[in-house]
Amino acid sequence: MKIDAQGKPCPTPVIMTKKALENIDEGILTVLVDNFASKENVIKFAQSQGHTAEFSEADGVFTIDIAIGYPCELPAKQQGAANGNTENIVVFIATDSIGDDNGLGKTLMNGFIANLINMDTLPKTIIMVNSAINLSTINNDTVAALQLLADKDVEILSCGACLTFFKVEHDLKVGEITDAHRVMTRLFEADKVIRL
Amino acid sequence: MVVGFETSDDAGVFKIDDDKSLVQTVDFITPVVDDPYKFGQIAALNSLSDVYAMGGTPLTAMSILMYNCDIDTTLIQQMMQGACDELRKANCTLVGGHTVEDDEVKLGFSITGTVSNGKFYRNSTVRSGDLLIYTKPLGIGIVATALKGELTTEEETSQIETIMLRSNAKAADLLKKYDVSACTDVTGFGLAGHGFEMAAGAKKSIAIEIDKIPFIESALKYAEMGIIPAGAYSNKQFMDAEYIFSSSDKEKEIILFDPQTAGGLLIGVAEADASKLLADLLAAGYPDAVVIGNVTDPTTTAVTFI
Repeated sequence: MKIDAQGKPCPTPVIMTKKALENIDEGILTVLVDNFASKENVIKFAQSQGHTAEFSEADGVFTIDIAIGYPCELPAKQQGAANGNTENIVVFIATDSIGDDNGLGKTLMNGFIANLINMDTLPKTIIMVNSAINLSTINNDTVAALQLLADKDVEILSCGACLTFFKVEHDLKVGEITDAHRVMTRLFEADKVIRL
Repeated sequence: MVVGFETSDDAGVFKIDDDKSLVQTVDFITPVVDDPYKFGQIAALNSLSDVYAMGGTPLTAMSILMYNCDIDTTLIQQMMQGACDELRKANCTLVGGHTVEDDEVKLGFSITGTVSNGKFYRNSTVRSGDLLIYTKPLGIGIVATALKGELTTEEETSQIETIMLRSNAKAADLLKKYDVSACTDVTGFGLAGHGFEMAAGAKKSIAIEIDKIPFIESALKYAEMGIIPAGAYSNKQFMDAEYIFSSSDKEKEIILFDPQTAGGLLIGVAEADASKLLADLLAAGYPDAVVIGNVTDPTTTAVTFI
């Protein structure tokens, strides 16, 4: 994300940075300013919020890169970092069966979930809605597979309204309950969404 | 002419006969608070302060007003009402003024005052051994910047309003009883800048103790967040070769350069009189007045913060 605060008087560049940061959980925010005071202030603000900031200058324009979240540590922990891939992949599952549920569909789903762990880049988040919530509750095969992924810091989210609808809200065995806002946030932030 | 440009003093002093001199100054500011009446008051107090800092008695005022014609005229009326109320309290008569169209509101006054028998305070006549008293807490510019960014709480806003609305008139009056060598009001150049003028003008050095300076609490918070007016950075840059900062409180350094609107008086007073003057100031409604440092023979650096 990039914001251009050139020509804006103090404290506008800091306020613009503050507003932009409120909407970012992780990533790089680039801020352009055209004077020393604004550059100092934006960097001070980023640091006061616990972020790291670096800047470069060219032709009187300061380009400040603010790293939000865990720019160094987190990707290193993820498997994907081994091949330099830190793509934000979200797996979105809306059913407990791949294709029609003719007996084969559920078996396929078990196999797919079990194989996620073998991918070069792990998904950052797996979201289960509608009947897919069976995968994190009553299906012991997929619960075990999802737990392995959770142990690798993959975020496992099950739709709260769906758990209630299917009356399994007390049977959640892996991951967290989520709401529509968080689901949409994850989907919008994703580099790639894989829908099963 | 008795006092001119040379020592960057608060006002010019011009002798008109054997026992009377005119003190003349002009200053105008952009809005620092949202309330138009209070802004008018602050603009008037900010302009009057230069005359007080010289030890003068305000006599007449000429307004300088700039505004965009699209603005609601009641706002202008409220601003001028606030200003006139403060001028009246100061027994200062508004005799005229000038208005110019401009995108951003600006208001200020050219104030003419008088001093009798050549008794006035320069900013440049401190003596070795004098103590330095400052009468208001520091950080007004930073909190006003946060206010402009709509970050301040109601309590923080009302705190800086109270500080800016505290007239320097009574403080200046108290000085006359004591052995005061020099006085200036701390405004656009910050405590460090005006302190430097005081030291350099007198060819002395001054030492200021960071632990003694009263800082506005919210200013510390906003300084850390980078809510700092551009003027603070340019003041600091201008002063770079003229000061030493040897305190471990690094985050307070920039606040020393924060431009103050309607700041307090920085007073050089004989050590023997300092505690009496301080007691008088505290009793007269300046709860933040404090001895912040002292004057020494010149060293290699004009201003040292310890």
